[in-house]
Amino acid sequence: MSGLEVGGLRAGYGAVRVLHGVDLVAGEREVVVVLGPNGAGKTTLLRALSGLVAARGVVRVGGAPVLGLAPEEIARRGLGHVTEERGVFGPLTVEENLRVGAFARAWPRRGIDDDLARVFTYFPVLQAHLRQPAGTLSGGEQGMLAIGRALMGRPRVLLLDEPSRGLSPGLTDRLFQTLGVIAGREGATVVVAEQNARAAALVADRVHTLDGGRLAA
Amino acid sequence: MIGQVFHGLGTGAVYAALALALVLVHRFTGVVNFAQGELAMVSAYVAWQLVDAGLSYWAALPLTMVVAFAAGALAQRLVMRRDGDAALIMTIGLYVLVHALAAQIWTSALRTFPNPFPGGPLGVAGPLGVVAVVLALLYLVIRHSGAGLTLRAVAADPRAARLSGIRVGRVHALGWGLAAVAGAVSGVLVAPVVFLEPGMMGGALVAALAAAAVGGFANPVAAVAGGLLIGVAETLAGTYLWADLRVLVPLAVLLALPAVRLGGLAGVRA
Repeated sequence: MSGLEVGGLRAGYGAVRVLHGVDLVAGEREVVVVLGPNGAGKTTLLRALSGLVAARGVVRVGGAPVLGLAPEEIARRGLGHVTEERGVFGPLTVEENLRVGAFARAWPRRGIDDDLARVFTYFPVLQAHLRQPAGTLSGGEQGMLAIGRALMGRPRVLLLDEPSRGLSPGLTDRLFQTLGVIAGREGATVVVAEQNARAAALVADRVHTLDGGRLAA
Repeated sequence: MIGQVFHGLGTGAVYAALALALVLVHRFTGVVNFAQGELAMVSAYVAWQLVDAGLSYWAALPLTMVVAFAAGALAQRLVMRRDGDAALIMTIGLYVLVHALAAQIWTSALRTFPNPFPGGPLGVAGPLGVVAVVLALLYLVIRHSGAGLTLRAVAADPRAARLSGIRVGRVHALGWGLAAVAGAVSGVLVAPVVFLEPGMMGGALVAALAAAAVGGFANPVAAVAGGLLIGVAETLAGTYLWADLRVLVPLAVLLALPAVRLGGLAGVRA
């Protein structure tokens, strides 16, 4: 079964059309990288999928149509979105941030501690800072926390907007390797929007280029 | 003099509770709720009806809190469907609406409300104790419950909260409900002191707005301190200078705020 199906997706801001019909099908455990320069519409694509930007077309998560739903409802149907800004809750502790992520799933209270333990296997540094306000973490650590928080929602589809931003090449490579592990172990479809083609190639099952508002293979 | 200070603290407890309500709504939903005093007034009427029906004051108080929570949450769901300036205007509309409804239901006749606390300087411990208990309960809910976690997440980053599956509208309703509980405390505390009538919270609202401003509408502890301070200052000014000066005290506090901020009172985050 495919995790994510996108058909004829059109979106923009006011009169400015950014996406002119994006088609994409990605299966479980698959890592798809969307490459493109700044301004190509990568962020708009992810925002349209998660409901932050109004769009037309078809979006299915695990077979269920989600386009037109509010972002919180799309999140509850299994789509996790780690934004460009990370959006960690600065005043909340690392642990509280992770627990907030669990609100996206059907039975928030069940298995939270197991999921926390699994997130720590991907990002051990988070466990070391559990009681610390998230705002005091480094940029790279905040990025890991944002991914961990999204994983706490047990997403079928995980969207990541430029996870390499602000990371050294070495850290970027390690993060992408971790993403590959996550896709396999969590059974999720991972879609990464990136400018960094080298890092993306490390782990991508497929690479698409966003050009002229459409995806090319 | 000491007696007047205690008397002022009793009044200040009323302001402190209402200021706390204003801070909760502002911190969790980003709007100053001008209808907060009117919601508190309705709570006072609800308490009065319960006592009138034969309940003791201490049985009526928790029941009133439950009704206040539901009324606050419902008011948010029904009226607060806009952001920014429009939201502020909506709270003023809510003020007018609730005031008119109360006048329709309970008329503007003055009614008396039983005072459960003994008179004299020591009687002030009662209102202060009630405010302290409610403050502690709200703290526990906000800091140590799942619902409180959603409130703090929404306050920190509404968009990230939505992307985590949190239904922000419901969380805002929760914030209004909790604030209405704090407001209800102010209504029930002031009712035995002034007569029960639809305009009873007018003065308290102005004082509470000034008190909330002491903490930049974000710091609950500063708001409570501000409320107590204004209560004491009002009483002293009214007693030792002249009576009409009381109403100017909140204004004086607002004018003095830049100095207060420099003192660091507003800078503390609770």
